Amino acid sequence: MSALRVAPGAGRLARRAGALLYLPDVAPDAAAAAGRDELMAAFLGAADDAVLPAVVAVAAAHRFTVGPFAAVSWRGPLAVLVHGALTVHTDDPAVPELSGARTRTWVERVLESPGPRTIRAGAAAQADTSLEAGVVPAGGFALDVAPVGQTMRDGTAPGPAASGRVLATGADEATLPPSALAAASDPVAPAEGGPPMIEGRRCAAGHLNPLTAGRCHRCGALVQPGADAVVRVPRPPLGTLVGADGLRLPLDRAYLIGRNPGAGGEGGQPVRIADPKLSRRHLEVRLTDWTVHITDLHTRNGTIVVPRPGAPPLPLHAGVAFAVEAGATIHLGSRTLVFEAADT
Amino acid sequence: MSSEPWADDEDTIPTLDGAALERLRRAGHLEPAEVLEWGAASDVGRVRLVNEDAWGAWGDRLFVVADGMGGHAGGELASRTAVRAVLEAVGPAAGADLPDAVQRASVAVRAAGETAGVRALGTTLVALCFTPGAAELINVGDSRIYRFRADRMDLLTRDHTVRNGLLDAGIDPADHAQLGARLGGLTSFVGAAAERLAVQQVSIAVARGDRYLLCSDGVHRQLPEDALRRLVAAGSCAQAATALVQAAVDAGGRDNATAIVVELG
Repeated sequence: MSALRVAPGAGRLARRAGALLYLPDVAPDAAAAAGRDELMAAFLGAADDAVLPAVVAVAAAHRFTVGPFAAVSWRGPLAVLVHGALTVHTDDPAVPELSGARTRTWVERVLESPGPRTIRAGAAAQADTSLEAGVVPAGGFALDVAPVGQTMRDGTAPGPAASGRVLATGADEATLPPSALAAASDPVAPAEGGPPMIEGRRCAAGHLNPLTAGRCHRCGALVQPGADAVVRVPRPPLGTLVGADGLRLPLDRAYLIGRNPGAGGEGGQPVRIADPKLSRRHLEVRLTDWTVHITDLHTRNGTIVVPRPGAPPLPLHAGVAFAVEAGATIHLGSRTLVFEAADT
Repeated sequence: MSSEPWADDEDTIPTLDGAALERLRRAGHLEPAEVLEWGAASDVGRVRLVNEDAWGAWGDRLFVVADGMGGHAGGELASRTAVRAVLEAVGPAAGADLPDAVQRASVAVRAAGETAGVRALGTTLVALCFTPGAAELINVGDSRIYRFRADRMDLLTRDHTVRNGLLDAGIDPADHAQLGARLGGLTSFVGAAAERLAVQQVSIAVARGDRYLLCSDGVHRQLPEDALRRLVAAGSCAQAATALVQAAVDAGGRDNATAIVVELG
């Protein structure tokens, strides 16, 4: 049995079979607001056994910019998950408080002490309230719960699930085994976060290469094989876009190229090129892992790529990212940009 | 990225329609590459009872691999429904909108689940659609497309996983090893609600001699990169696809394994 009491407030509290999601009232930016709506949708739409994975998957897809939230699941083991500057209190002596403030990702604990538990967050819940199902405005909650399935721990670290994969909103095989949940219950070490990271392996000379490289793309030496040789580092520059007029754009960031591209912002660093045949916002340059993607922004005159010297020209489909590679020439307006390989 | 044409473009001086393209065409000397041959193979593996992978091809132009998930035959239903939906939407129509086809496939998967009484189901999906000299790919989930050119191998897709979400945020997943299986959790899949369905769409230039591999994670998780590189070059495309799937089974066969190998000439 479980009872969920509600504190008045302007956040949101949702309950479904064996789980709750609490979104405290914060002033998120528009992107975070969309993320919070998705969190709620994922919570309500997930399979019974996969509520926490579904919520985590949405947060990850938003790069953890969804604002603070807490989720509790008690259909199986009693698990508490917190992201962001929010503290959840429990009467389990092993987990008096759980806060997501010190990590970019989330913290998660399974409450294993026997007996019924009370879990609360936010303002004091009112005694005469009870949320059985659905979503209500709330400034906090208090949950009284007697978990049905206490987990067994044998002290050994379980491996990942058979497929190594969890379907975010459920399906039977996606259900996280209790052992994996227990493994996830240790507090997550604070992680600072920073610029996007990239995975690769080094050759004998120390050059960083994609995981798919057998030989170094720069010097041809053998790249250290095997999972142990994988390094994760902030992404190095992937090359340079070089204009005939001397313009050089190091491919260590995103760009928004045009005749009058504005302030850039989300679209990348603005690059202004005075060419009347260019559209105001003409070409977007983005980096994805080891790949440089360029996108024609529905321009009047279009963008053409010659993928390598002598190759047939390819007019870009407006709005579709094109994976451009070293040696390619990009034709926009009366200008050209040549993609020179990285010298790393 | 906006999908709307820029409305403030009236002051851009128009160029002669197609003149630049024609000039560049005359300057080139290489012929556009086209699909020469292809082959596919799929195996249930040694652990699973059913093969929840599915693959499909439309002529020698469009290739699809899907890896379904869900209990009570939901995985098979999801992958087959999605492959069929994409083939039907994209196959007959050159220049079809691939992301739109995936959205429709997602709706079809959810509808099929409802009809069959399966509550939670979904599937990954990769598709590669060739035009002369170029190709367009779409990806949802963690099936993959690789390109092999000369002695170089490149991963063209990006997995929709919690793990990649961490990397994007500048966080080393190794610091979160205790999360185990959850790092591999999918952040997008066909069958997800529309607002959660992220589709990667990329155009690429293709060249003669390229080989492309579309595969489920039963292949790319089971085999190291050097094995993929060696096996994809093993004989004809059909032989290579069979060799890849067989090697994945021999290496443990923990999951269903599916591979399509395509060569351009």
